[in-house]
Amino acid sequence: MRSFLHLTSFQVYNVILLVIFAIIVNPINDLLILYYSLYCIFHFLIIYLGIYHFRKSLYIIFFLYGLGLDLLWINEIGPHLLTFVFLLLILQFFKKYIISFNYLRIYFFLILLQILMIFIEIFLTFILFNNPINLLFMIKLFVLSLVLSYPLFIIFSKIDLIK
Amino acid sequence: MMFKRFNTSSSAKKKSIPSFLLPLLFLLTFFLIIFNKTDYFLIDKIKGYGVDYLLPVTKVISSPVTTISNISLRIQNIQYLENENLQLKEEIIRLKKWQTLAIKNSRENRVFKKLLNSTSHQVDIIKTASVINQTPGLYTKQVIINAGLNYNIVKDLAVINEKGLVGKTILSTNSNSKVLLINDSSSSIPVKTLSDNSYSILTGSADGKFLISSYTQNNQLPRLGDLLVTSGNAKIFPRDILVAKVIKVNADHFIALPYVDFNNLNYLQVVKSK
Repeated sequence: MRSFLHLTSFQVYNVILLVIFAIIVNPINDLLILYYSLYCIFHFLIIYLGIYHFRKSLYIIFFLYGLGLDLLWINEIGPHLLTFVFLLLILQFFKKYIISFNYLRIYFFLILLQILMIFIEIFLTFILFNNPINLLFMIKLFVLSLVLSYPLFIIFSKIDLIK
Repeated sequence: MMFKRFNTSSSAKKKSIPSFLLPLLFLLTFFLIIFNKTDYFLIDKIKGYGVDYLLPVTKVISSPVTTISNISLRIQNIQYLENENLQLKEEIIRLKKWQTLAIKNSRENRVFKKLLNSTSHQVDIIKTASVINQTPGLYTKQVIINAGLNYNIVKDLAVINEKGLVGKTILSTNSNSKVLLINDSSSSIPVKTLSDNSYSILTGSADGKFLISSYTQNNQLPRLGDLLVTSGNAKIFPRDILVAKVIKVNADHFIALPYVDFNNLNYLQVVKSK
């Protein structure tokens, strides 16, 4: 009990990530909007972790989540795995520039990266497996990403206060 | 300031992963993607492990949320209970009339078959299984059923329910199978029209609501309202299973509405031709 209460912010994020992952791979069709929202939150959290809590173990974590999403959602391996792993590589490369950003710039960078990431995943699914691009689905994700990003940014800043 | 600045301390804190692991991880990523396109044995094994081991774990983790969602849906449904009850009563009366007619027709059919000495074309039911998971349809339209190799369910078997064709099995593990639904854009269903036996191939639309013809034999398009059944040409789907109804005919293709309600899939039957 003591160890549960003394989770670090990184561990809290990992618990949240695991729970969101578990929910989005077991959807209920009547509440699809909830799953679209969780899908956006999952991506936001992945980028947030990559920016604020970067460490090499994230490569393994992202690899596993990418593989899991691909296997359980698409039944093929590729789009999520490739995007997640390369996201971290890109973030590691640009870390020295991101450090100098103020919070507002980081927020815009985060939201831009999230939308870009989702679009790349959809595009990769189209390129690799010929899955058609559903424009309505893309618009929904775009709107949800914009709406959810700021509250999420505030909530995550609060979680970051956990030592 | 309520937002924290970039946390350099946490980023530089841990270096527990050996540096050789990262290139290895990237290599593994590329190999997995390449194998996914070329090697089916290894990838099918990985996919099987995903369904058999990963899915139950995620089900346990998400069970509180699923339970709460189900309860809220039940409460929502209770509001419409009285109305639904009246509708169902009317439907029962209507169906009873149809049942009488169906029994009469079935009896007649049996007699005619005997007179003609014809053999009937029926499907062999391998297993009736329940749906344990359904993808939200963001990328692909699939369901997972709780029967696999343990019930002789292998790849490429037709899956139906009481309304018609649902899909085909694309992966089988010891206790589960993955079913690709017919409304997925990568599915391909050879069908014929009941009215004039013109053959065509259907695929799922991008949003998964309709089926679109990707090929029609001799460019012979069906009429509006025509019923489409499986033609039996692909050797996967048995003949004469109800698939869809034509709702729009364009110059070079047509659109059909599937009979199966893909949002309410509970029990499915895996079948093959007799």
